Amino acid sequence: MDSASPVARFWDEFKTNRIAVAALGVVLLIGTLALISPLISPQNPYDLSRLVLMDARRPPGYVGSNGFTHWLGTDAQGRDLLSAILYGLRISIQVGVIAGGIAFVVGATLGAFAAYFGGRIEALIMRIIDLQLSFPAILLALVLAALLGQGKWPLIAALVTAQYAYFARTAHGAASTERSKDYVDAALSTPLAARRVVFRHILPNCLPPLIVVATVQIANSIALEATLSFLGLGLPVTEPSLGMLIANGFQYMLSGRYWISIYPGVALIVLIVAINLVGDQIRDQLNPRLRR
Amino acid sequence: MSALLEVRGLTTHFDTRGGVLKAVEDVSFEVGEGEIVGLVGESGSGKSVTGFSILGLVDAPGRIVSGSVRFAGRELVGLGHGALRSMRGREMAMVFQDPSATLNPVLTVGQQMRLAIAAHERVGEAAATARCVEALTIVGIPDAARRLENYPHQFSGGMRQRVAIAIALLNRPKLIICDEPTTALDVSIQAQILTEMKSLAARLGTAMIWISHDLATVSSVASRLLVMYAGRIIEAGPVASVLRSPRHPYTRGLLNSLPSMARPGQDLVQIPGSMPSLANLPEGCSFRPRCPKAQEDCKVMPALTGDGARAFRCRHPLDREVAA
Amino acid sequence: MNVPAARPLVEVQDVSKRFTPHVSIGERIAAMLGSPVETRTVHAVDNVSFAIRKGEVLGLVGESGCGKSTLGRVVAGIHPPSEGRASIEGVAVMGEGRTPLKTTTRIQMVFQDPFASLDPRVRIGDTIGEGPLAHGLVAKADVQAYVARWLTAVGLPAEAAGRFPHQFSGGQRQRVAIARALAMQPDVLVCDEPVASLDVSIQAQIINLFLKLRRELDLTMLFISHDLGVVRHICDRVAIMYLGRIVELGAAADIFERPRHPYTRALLDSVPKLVTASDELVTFKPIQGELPSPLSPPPGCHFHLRCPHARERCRVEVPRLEGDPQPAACHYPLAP
Repeated sequence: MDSASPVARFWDEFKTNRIAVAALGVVLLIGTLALISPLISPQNPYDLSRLVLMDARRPPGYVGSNGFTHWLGTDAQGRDLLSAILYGLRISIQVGVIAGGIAFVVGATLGAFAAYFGGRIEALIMRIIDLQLSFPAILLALVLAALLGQGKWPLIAALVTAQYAYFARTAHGAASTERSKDYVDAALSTPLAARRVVFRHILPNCLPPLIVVATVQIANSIALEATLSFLGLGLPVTEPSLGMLIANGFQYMLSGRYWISIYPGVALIVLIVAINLVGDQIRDQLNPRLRR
Repeated sequence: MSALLEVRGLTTHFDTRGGVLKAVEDVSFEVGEGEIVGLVGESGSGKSVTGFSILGLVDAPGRIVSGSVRFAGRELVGLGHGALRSMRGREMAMVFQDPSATLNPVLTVGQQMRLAIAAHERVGEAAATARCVEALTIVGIPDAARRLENYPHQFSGGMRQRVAIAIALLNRPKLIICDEPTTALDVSIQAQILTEMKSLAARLGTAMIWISHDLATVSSVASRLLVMYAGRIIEAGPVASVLRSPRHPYTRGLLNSLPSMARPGQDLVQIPGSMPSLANLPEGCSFRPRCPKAQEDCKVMPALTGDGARAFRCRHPLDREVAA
Repeated sequence: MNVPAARPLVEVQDVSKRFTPHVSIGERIAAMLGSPVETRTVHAVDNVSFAIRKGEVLGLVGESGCGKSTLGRVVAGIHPPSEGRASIEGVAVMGEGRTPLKTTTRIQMVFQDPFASLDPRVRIGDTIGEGPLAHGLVAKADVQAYVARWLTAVGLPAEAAGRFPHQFSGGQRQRVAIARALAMQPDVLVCDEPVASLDVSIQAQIINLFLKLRRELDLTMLFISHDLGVVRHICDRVAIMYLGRIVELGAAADIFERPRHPYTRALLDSVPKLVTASDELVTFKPIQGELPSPLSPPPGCHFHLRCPHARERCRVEVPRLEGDPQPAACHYPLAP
């Protein structure tokens, strides 16, 4: 009942929701598979010398010319789809997590400092963020991706710019509440430096809502990255993410070669749904109004 | 004369992840018609849960394990939700520390009061309004007819508590359970409400259970005092008599803790330690670990033994002569 | 008790604190277009002056909304005053500038609610040690022993340092909060209702702790409370506040025995007393009416609406805090 750390108590409660635990398992499984994809995938889909064009667009279960079974079939270049999906997941998750992480740090810092200082600084930062939030993220990301050009880092920059505002707004709301609590006044009466009060005291107490936003936003940035790549504005062809795999198979959908688009799509959906299920449980646990 | 309220062996537990919280253990007392009984204890003593249990307001994970609550000759424990609800508000009412627990912020005070009347009987609009105005006037709200159109937030904290009391009075209940009704209020407002409640009880013949942590407040309204510690009544008797010569060491300790009992600047006589966890009560008398008079035989829970009008749960009671 | 030094340690001079709620852009535009916008400025503290001598405990008493907490926070350097200044040995508590910062560590504060005043995510050893570390009162290598020393001083075991606030009871948390303030080695402690949220038996323990620390550390205190019994017990002098102003100031015994201001009298009469005789008749003489809104305090003497002795002059003229040694802000003070 009285475990030492807040994290341990949180996990005790998290365990009671089986769906969330299963979802967390799926997220961790996909994450691990993606992380170690070079070690486990049957084929290196980037190694062009290994591709056999004869084996292109073959259905799931097809045994390739070199005696190799393609469990999920092959794509238009004759790539093993299972391998391509694993590598694609790796890229997608990498981009989503890095973009989400940077957006988290930038947004949370901005929002917390705005709430801490108040006055004109707060008004300026929050108006810019409001303005940005009034545009759809996809539109902003599209424009930025087009301006910054192709590549992993330009794409991450576009995703961060499109998403940091969500973190900033959440951090601002939470930090405004924390700002008025006595422990912050106690830090002020010590006195401690503003930087220390914000990073050591206010931000850690804003983490619960920020973690909820983070799960949603990582799922969103994975979806956003897939969208951009699908539209050809994301990663270069040499690093096919899930979005590009879906796009590549799209033209064959109507000719009955559904697997090229469908399997990457399923992988994407499973990942995003699982992340959201975990996020839902975290939110339910952290929202005092839903608590009994 | 039989008592209006008769509580016998009331036991309420809460099943939590950390174990069973024994919030109320074997509580028995009576309230006569028109009598004001004070229920005193520190936080975790079970005084509020006792109040909730009487009204059947204990929700899961809490449950009344055993005991009986007889109100006006009728057994309330085991009564269905509907029967309890129709009884609450009409024959018994509760006033909480925080009036916003009673008041709905989106309805005017008048609407809420008329609803409270309509819940129990059919009354014409004019008659209902008249009763609302009367109730508000009784609790000392000036210009009552006009204030019926106000929303709760348009009242000050003290006035909101008066409105909550007026709602409790609407259907002329025989018993009002007041759970720390003046704790959140300023002393000057508290004094006003204490005076009014006391004269109300005398005028309308309403019995009250006054739950509070503040001995002085309770002693100024109640005629009989019940002191609770860790879920049990440990001392009971007429207010002045209990406060003048407490028999239980805890009551004595509580009195000694009051700054008004010592000379300014002097150390107070403090009770060492703190209230035990209700999930993990010590063996025998719950006060034993903090008690200066504890002995080996205190490891068996003493019974609440009577001594005339007085009763106490202690094997080594203080002498009657020990006066304040 | 200490012999007070000649020069007061803490001086509060003409301090006012106003809060103006944020005005939205819409309202600003409306105001520019000439629509009347109601001013919602709250005069929480209105031109207050007093001094605390070294080693003295000054009680600050008043009902909710009277501005006593705000005044305490101005003295503790949490809020900058709108006007006037609080100083310790002549040095202002707050620095200059648009967003002034506290410049001294000699005044520390203990808050009412120990559940709110300790950061729930920080181990209490770190909570106590971080201020002294940041201000160089202790070297990094010695901080553990330093924290242990202060924990022991407030009656907690040294190994408590590794625990989180939620693992403590209310009384223990308040001890932690006191240890945090004392670890800064202050000369002055501002205590805002430090025992109000505690149970009676725990309250007595904390009051005794204050008495002990005061004796051992020669602390000067501003003790804010609504509980007259507690104030009488530990304060040397008492200031009574009503709607942002001090209405009476004097030695504790004098204030409680011979109040000069009608509000002080009324406050004393409102306190319920223990009834220990069965034939004792409990009679309150409650003050009539309610505390007026600090948004629109009445003109003249703020108390005149509720005062049984109010006359015409009270409705117009603000009374000054006058008289020695027990000044009262009243045109017609009560006879001793």
